[in-house]
Amino acid sequence: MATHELAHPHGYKQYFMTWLWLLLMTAAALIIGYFHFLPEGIKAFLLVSITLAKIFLIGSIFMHLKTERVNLIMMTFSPLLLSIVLFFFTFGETLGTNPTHQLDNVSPTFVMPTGEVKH
Amino acid sequence: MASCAASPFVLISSSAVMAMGVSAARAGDAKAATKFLALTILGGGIFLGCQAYEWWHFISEGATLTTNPWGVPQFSASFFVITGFHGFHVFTGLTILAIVALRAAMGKYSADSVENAGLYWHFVDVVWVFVFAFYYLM
Repeated sequence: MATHELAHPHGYKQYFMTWLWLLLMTAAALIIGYFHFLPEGIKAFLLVSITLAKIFLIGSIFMHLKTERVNLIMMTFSPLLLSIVLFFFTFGETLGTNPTHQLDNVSPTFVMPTGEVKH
Repeated sequence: MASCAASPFVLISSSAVMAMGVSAARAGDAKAATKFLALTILGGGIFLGCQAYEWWHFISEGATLTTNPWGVPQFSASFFVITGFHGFHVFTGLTILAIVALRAAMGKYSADSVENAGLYWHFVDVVWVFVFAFYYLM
């Protein structure tokens, strides 16, 4: 252990503290997700925020991105911007409808190529 | 419920010990690196076990790629495809980790190979953070 601490002065302790923070954030996300005490919009915002905080922590500490060049960091996180673009491809369809996993939305409507509508 | 609630804790814990394994490998401590890699494999194995149990539970209740007893079939299809592909990545990661751990136990390893296996494992963890938030909690 002493040799590791010489080679990596903050190694294990930093990983241990990061692990504790990740566990704490996961527990918070579970409480927010499973116990429905918040309005849907606030719940979704908090869950996305916690998810992003967790991936930044894993990326920067566990994957050592914080010690990499700025260009590599930007390259790694650029797909997040693309995911926002993809999100807006389908987001419009979800507005004004119930979440797809709810029972009252169980019977989807199909429009056949002939124009016939099937339920 | 208990199974899927434990899965993010298990995968995050395995990611943390993987980071410690990389640190040990960089310091040249093959014994500690092997120990941490074994713990990482254990975490990944428990995760896959939880997933298999969850799939068995859902399928025994009537869920398939095209049917969903609790809602629209598309959610069921999307759930099985996404968690299935992730599970396959976890299995692949476990195979890579087992090879690296065996080589570390024999003293035939490089710190770079441990780091590369670790980067793959953290990537699998990051994907699960997203999947868990969007499929289980939203």
